[in-house]
This record gives sequence, structure tokens and C-alpha cells, in this order.
Amino acid sequence: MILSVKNLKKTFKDGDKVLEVLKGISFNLDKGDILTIKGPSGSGKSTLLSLLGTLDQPDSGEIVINQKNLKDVKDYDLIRNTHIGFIFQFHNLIAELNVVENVTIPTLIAGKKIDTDYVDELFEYFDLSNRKKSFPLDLSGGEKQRVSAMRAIINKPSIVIADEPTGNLDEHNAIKMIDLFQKLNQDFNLTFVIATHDEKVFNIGSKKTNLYDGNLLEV
Amino acid sequence: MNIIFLIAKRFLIPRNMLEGGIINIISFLGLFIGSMSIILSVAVLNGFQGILEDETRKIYGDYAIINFDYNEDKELVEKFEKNGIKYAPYYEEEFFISKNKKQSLVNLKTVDNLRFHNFYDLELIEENKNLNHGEAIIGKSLADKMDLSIGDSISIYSTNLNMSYLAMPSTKELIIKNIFQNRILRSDEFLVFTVSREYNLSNNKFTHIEMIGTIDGMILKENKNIISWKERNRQLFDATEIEKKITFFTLFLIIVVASFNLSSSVMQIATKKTREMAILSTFGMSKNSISSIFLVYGYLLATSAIVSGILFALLIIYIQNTLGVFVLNPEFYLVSILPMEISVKDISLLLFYSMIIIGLFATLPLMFIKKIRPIELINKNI
Repeated sequence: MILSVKNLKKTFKDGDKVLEVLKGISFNLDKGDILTIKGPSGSGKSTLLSLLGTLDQPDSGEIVINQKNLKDVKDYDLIRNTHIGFIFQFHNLIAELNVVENVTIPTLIAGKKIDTDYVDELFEYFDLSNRKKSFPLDLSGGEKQRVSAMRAIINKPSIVIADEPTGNLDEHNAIKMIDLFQKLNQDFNLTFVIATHDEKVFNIGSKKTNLYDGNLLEV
Repeated sequence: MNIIFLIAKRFLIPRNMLEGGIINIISFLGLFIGSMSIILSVAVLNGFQGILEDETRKIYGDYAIINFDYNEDKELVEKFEKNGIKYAPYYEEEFFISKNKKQSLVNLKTVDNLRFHNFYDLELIEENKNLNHGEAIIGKSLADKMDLSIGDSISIYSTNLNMSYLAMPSTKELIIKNIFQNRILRSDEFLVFTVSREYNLSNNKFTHIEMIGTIDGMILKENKNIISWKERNRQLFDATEIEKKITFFTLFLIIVVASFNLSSSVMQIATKKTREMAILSTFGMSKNSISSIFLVYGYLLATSAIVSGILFALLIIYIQNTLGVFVLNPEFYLVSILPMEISVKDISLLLFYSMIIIGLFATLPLMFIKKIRPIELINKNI
């Protein structure tokens, strides 16, 4: 099992009101699973992804990533760097860094030496070999999102968390992105947790769920 | 390349230079001008101090040995001779000098004629440096003050009140043989050189000896004192040192003020780059490392400005020392071109103090950055 979530709860305070956003979420993922989550705006999809991505802490419950219980972890930065890859709705590339520098950010943060052969292979795989020295401003929307996906998997993470990954792409690029996720899943046996409104993206899930009223309902 | 350094460098030198903002340019210019001003001003003071040192050595040598006694110090003199060290024994006493109802207090330095020739590098009005018994070389300021010229006769009176049998102070008549000039030290106002038949090295009347060279390995008897040319003119050199320190401190204030701008620059870039901070935080960069990016950014900006300022100042000094662009009126300044001397010590001090000040000012905005929580950054920016 690569990811285990047990009875995850999260509340937010809004003045005197307490909003119960997640009311006890539980699920398990094996390596190579794709979990797709849909749900109306404000249903807690992003909150769930933030908790899985160690960007925020739950009020109660348990998250175990690759046999590491997050309760016992002190350095969340390290967990994010080594076990989790992020793909956002917007590409979120750093404009001042070129493509290869953007892609290797997680490796550089880890203080590891860059394996140039591996990076070259990735660039070939993503069909971006001719864009290595380009800057984000010079790339198309689809290329930016591919660079962002490459950055997410560079450190060979246990899970890739994607929040509305096609939300900012046109249909053509969105389809290419969906194909890429499926290909990555098959070729690298990568595990994905994807929150989306897009039915096409939702349908690629090996486990499809609906987040409604703070609960996760299997579809 | 280290990611902190890489990102700081890219933030500092963006592809579109205008993105860096006017505040960066102001910070750069402030630190550039500050460091350049310090190096140039201190170089000029060093230049004048160098001239002062040269002029002092011409009259005082490197060291003076007090309580010289030929019988006791014969070995020392032989050592000087053997090692080719220039030396000049002398006897010094205060006298009143009188001429045309004008009086002045002078130090009459009775020297050995032969060594006087080789030792003292005096700028004389007339070529002839040779002194005979009853002749004196006086300074130009003294000559001007007392309306004296070469060939005049002057009366000198001892200040230790040794009266003659007529209850009159002991007097001597001296003919002015030549006039020397050394306005920097003002020694030409009170120093009078003379020779005497009664004074020579072996008759043990000289009480001091001046020398040019090092005193390393020189073993002296307990009753001897060695004083350097600097110690003999301590007040003057202390004053120049204080002047240098005050100049350094005053001009350093430019760097302090520019550092406020630097603080603003770091703050501005930190506020502009919250999205990038969020991205880096998401991929596992710690808060400390994110803060370090902005600290390095501040240091890169400041160091490049200060080093450029120093290099530009060094270029000006080089041009001045080779081409003599800035000329002076020697009537007032004694030198015809502005003297400039580079001091590695001053440059090191400037770099050292600047790094401390910059460190302080670049760290201030980090307090703001450290308060930011990654989730807040991400929710707001991603």
C-alpha cells in the first residue's frame, strides 16, 4: 500500500462558526492506482489534497505515505520533497528559471546531484528536448503544463497530487495531458490523486470518488 | 549550482532588467558611491600621509637612539658601518635665536658634518650643503618669520641660563649658510642644523644617534631608548590617523543610508515573489532556505555594488598615479599632483564593516518572510 488515509477530519473557523470540511475520510491506494476525486466547489477537494500533500495538518485522523505515518514525521518539507509530486491548475513555473532549472527544482532542493542522463530521458519522454533552455514565457500552455508534470515526477515520488490539472488548458491540450497521465501511470507505475471537475480526467481513475458534504463516496 | 544562489541571482538579474525596479538601482548606486567615496578619500589621506612620512624620514631617519654614548655603543656604530646602515650622531639643545629685535625658540641640532651630508635629505635653497664651524642651516619658515637670508649672522642664547661672568646668558654667533624647506612638518620653523669643532664621534659629546634601517635583532643596553620617527611626531600622525578614521566613519554613513534602501529592495522582491516562495515551499524547500534566497539576494546586490565601487575607485587611483589628472597648486599643497595611495587594510576594513551592515539590513525583511506559513502562501498564490 502506497497511501493509507484513515478517518481524516478537518475543520475551519470562520468567526464563531466552525466549518467541518472533511468529516472522516478514509481510503487506501496501492502503487499504480489513480484516484480521481470530483465534487462541487467548496466541497473540500483542495483541503484534502493539502492534507495529503502535507501542506496542512488534519485535526484528527491518520495519513500513511509509503509506510511513513505523517504523525511521526517532523520534517514535512522532506516528505514533500521526496514522496510527493504536485501538479497545479496553473503551471506555476518560476519565470526567472529556464525549463531544465524549473524541472530540477525538487532535486536541487534535496541537495542531490542532477542525473543528467535521467533528465535527458525525461525530456525525451515528454517531447521537450528542444525546450530545455527556454524560459516559461516562451512556452505554450500545454508545454508549460508538461514541464510542470515533469517537475512533479523528477524525484520519483510515491504519489503525484494534481489539483485541476487541466483546468487551465484548452480541450486539445487537456486531452494530451490526460493521455500523458495514463502513460506515466503505465510506464512508471506512478500513483495519482487527482481532483477535477473534468469528466474526461475523472474517468481515467482506477478509483473514482465523489467528495460530497465532507465525505468521500465511491462512484 | 546551489539552488539558493541560482534563484537569488536570477531574481537579481531578471531577463527584463526593468523588472528589478528602480529601488534596486538606487540601492546599487548608494552602495557604489559610498564605497567609492571611502576608498578615494582614504587614498588621498594615505597619499598625504605617505608624503608626510617621507618628509619626516628625511629629517629624522627611521629611529633615534637616546642616551648615545660612543664608549658604550662603539659596537653598535661598528655594526652600522659593517651593514651599511646610515646613521648620524647629534646633540640637541634649545636656544633662543635673536635678530633685528625678533626672537624665536629653536632646537639647535649639532651634527657631524660628514654624516650630515649623507644622512639628512634636506630640500635646500642653495646647492651647497657643506657646513663649517660657526655656520648653520635654518628652515624657511624661521627665515621668513625673522627676515633672515643666507649670509646673515644670528645670535643664539642658551635657554638653560648658564650665565657668563658678566651675568649675561651664554651667546653664540652663527652665519646662515643655507635654508631648508619642510613645510609639512613645520620643522623648518624650529630646527637649526649646525656643526662644531668641539663635537665629533669619538669625543663623546653627541647624546643621540639617528639611523635609517630596521632595528630587528639590535641588542641595546638598558639605559638606551629607541624611538621611531612616528613616535617623535606622535601628535601629527595621531591627528592624521584620527582624520582618516573620521573620514571613513562619515563616508560610511552613505553605506548605512544605502543599506536602508537595500532593506527596501529585499522587502520589495520578497513581497513580489510570494508565488515563487509558495512553489518552492510546495516542493520541500524549508522556510530557512527560502529566507536565505533573499539574504543572498541582498548580499549579491550589495556586494556587487561595493566591489564595483572599490574597483572604480582603484581605477581612478591608477589613472591619477599614472597620468596625474588632478593637479594641485604646490604653493598651498606642497605637491603638484593629488597624491593617492591604495591601502589593502582600508579596503579590507570597508568590506568587513559593509558585510556586517548589509547582513543586518538584509536580515530585517527575513523576519517578515519567516512569519509566512507555506499553506497561506499556497492558498493565496497557487
